[in-house]
Amino acid sequence: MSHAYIIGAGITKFAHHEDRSVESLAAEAIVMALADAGIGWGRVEQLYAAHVKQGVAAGQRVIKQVGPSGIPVLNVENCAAAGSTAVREASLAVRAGEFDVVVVAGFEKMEPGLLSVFPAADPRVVMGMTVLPMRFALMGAKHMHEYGTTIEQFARISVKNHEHAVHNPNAQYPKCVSLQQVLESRMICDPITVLQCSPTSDGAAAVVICSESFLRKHGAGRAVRVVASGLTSDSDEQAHNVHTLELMERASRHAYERAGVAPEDVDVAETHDCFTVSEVISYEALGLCAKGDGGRLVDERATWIGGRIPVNPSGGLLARGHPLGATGVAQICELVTQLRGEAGARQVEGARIGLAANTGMWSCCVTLLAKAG
Amino acid sequence: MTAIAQQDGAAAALAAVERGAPVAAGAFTRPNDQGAIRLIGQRCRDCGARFFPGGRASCIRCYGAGLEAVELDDTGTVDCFTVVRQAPKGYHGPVPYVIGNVVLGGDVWVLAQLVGKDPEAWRCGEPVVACAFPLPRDAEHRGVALCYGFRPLAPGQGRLAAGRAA
Repeated sequence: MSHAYIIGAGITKFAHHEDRSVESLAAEAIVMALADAGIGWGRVEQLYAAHVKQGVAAGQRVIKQVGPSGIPVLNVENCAAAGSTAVREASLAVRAGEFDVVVVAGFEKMEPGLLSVFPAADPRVVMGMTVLPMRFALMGAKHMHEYGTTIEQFARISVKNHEHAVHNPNAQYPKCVSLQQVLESRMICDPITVLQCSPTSDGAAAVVICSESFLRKHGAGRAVRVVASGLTSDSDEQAHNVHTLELMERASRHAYERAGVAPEDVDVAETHDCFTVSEVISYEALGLCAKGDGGRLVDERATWIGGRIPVNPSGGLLARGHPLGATGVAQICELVTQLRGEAGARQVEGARIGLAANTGMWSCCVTLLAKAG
Repeated sequence: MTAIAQQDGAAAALAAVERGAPVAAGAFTRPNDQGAIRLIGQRCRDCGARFFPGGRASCIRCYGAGLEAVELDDTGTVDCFTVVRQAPKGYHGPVPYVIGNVVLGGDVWVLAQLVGKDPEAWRCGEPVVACAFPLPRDAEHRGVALCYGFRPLAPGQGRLAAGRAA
């Protein structure tokens, strides 16, 4: 199979865009990505529209705004992993030779407050078992019990990611928070305080993906290669070990094997820090450290920009924001910027291989990207 | 607690649970006079795997279709837990409350509320017994759902005789 390349990336400011429609946010990101790639909408052969709670056929509403060219629209819903799932499907179709140029757009406008994704008739609603941080709180509690991980180690993830976001103009919360502020903020689900939860956000992100033959005609320029990806889905707490992000472990193993890349080859990562706990445990699932050493990696500041393996230079979900369908594409956009060496004050020096890990309930997509050429 | 207080508590709990319809049909046996229940899961006739909740088309381990309903162990161990301090939409019970992962018989994992004790007092590894407890179905407390959960296992408490489906 030939390769797929990202030749354009665009992202809106993540914020509460009260006065904007979700369609206009998505269109803004698409237009930016096309301009970045230096091509017109007329070249695009399929739109992949990733979103979670934006209604039926939201991609068809978006395409009206950028050009009703009659191309196919594929709506992708995979909870918060929708964005990366769409990038994966788009890359596979391009690699298979079906398309030369496609666009992936992830977008979301969210309601304020705790996210609700269960049907009302689910018995777990009445029993109070649908609170989203719950699974991660249980994972955190288990990690603390088994490995002696501390509340402070989890809380420092929020400190780090807010610090990184200061240099990201598109971040929702580009401001520093202290460890004390994180720890003293309202407790949601022990040990997760409100400043350890990703916010509700509105925003969109888009990428232009092309084939190897199109790239040869177009010129490699600032292209980034989609090296490999792995996608897994779980649904059962007994069949799968839900205390270790086992689904991320399997997705990353698949991507590493496909790419012929080892965890120590990764220069920069964007991981799914929907809650601080998930970032710490993702270090272990992705093989960035041994099982149980996630907390130690935090203490060593290895995942800060300037550390051994910087994680979430964008500010992550915690500080860049987390518009569900947009998140996976936003992670890819950040890696494209990093691998091009265009990330300014948040640049990870010499980054050549980037990894994105994007999870939703309960799927995980791990994508490996590399500088082209 | 005195024996009389214990009896009064049990009677009150029973009065409350009898008002409500089970939160999920066929998920557990009818509560005994202490409010204790057995969860009803499924067992695979081919590989012996047991799991909860039931109602599935095939086995979670071997994917075989030969499944039968099975009453699970009434006692288990808390693997880990979290205290929930902000209620999600649709939950109208007391806050804070505790959600725990409980292991029954070493192989069946059940996520449910841990009740009958101060939320701050739970510990990993504690022995528990399955029980029914009421939770409001709406904000006005017009309806009550009979829910399954776990409470501390009192020292010397024996195993239950198998009951019938609630």
